[in-house]
Amino acid sequence: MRSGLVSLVVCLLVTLSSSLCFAGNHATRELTLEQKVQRSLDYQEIQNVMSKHEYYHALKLNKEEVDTIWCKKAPNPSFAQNQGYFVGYERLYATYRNGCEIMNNDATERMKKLYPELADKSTKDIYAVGSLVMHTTTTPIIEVAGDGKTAKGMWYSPGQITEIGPNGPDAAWIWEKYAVDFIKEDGEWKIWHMLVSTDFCVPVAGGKSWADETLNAPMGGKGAQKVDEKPPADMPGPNVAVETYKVYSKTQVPQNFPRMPEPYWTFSETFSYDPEGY
Amino acid sequence: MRVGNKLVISFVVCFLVTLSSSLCFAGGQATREMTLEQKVQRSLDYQEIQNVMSKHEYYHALTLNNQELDDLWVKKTPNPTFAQNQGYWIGYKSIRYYYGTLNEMMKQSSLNAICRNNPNIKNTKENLAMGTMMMHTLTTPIIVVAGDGKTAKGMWYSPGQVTMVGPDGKGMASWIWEKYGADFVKEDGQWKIWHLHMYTDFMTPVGESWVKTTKDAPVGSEGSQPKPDDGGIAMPKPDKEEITYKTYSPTQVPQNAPRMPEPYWTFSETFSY
Repeated sequence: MRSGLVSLVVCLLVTLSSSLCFAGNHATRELTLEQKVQRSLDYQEIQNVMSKHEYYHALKLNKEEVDTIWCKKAPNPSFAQNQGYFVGYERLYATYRNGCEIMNNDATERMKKLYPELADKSTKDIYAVGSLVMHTTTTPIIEVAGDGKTAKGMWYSPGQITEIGPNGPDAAWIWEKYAVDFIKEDGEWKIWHMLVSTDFCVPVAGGKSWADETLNAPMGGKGAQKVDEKPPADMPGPNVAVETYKVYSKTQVPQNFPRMPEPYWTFSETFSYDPEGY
Repeated sequence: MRVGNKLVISFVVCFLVTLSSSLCFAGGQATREMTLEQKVQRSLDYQEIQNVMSKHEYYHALTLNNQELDDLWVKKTPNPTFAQNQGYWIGYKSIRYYYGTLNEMMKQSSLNAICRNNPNIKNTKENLAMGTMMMHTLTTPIIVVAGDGKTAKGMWYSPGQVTMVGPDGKGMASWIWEKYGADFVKEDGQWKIWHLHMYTDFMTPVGESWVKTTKDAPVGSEGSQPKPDDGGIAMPKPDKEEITYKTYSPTQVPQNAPRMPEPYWTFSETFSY
């Protein structure tokens, strides 16, 4: 009978041991099997969220993007570009969310004047006509917190933006880096802080490269303003106006920014892609 | 039911629960099996390997090749290799010199040349790699983790760009599209680069086509640096000189290299990059 009890205990320990495996990067802490499975799912779900950001943005549906895949409860969400940080729900909504539609309505009106065949169409029906935007996400580094509540990601984004300038559509190559903090709200990964660092934005035509000239990084949601123009006057600028990153120039040394995500257990142990992390 | 029988049943049930988690089908490893724990670890390994390979690109873009070697490459596994179209650099010492030390020397010689022609620019440590911008992206991954979980293989397409400033102060921006084949080893619980092989398809000035103009694959961790006569660094030959891949030419047929990773159980069963 005693040997039976010993067998039972040994067997239980064997089963239990599968939940105490070493968790790789988290040297001092361990993940259960359940946590590891969740972590594995988190990687792909975070990539899905980031990819959705790109597809929404290409459709000029920033409003739907913010409503669907950005956080709603976490404090101080932020969107940042080379020129600074838009911090807090109010500023984020006024610029990245709502500003995109304002700028693209303006651009659509411009196209109606430039292309007679569009003149009698409603702006709503041909919203963002003539634009074609593709920011890809490649070269991912994704780190999910050991506690599973937050995550960090970084990507290279080779892309193109075809936007409506004063004379119609202009096509430009745009290569950038993205660095993002994510937070899980009600079981779903949401964007919390998004930092876009533009390396160059240069016309496709004209026979020049970014080594010859590059434009200022697009600003304010990269909407329909021409890439070297400032956003419309009624669009607020960044509330933390710092030059976070510089476009390429021949006297520029490589910029170690954004910082690569590093393994961490809980968010207070790591840096942030909001102004505090700058 | 007697107490003894209850214990026997408990033991059998417990044994079956344990056994059931070790009888899952292992995908590519048709004849071997993986436990649930191994499968979960395998799933995490995919992203961790992608992270390591992505970090390689970011370190390299910052021209921090030495730091990359310290942080991401194997330390205990025999015969690491770094390879490009022209051949293989084999072993820690050779890779450290070719991929690390030489990269530092090239940055300095490049800055020397820039300063000679641009007196306003200071020849200081802070200006090393001035005018350099590289972005080698990673797309289209195939990642295969060994059944035993000790090694892995990966392959990627890498569309990218390399921008340098020449001694004349002119900027030179080029498209560079490559393929990567890499072997990884797990050392102390972390994935490390063991063999890294770049297969360059073309490197062509922006605004031109690779059908008309392509350069030889970059030599010495990155291409455009001054010629030795102009203060540049003489490039050492690979430890094993071999044309492993050819840049595009109109008379070149598609090259089936690198070989795509295939499922395997332990490294001795597969090929190496």
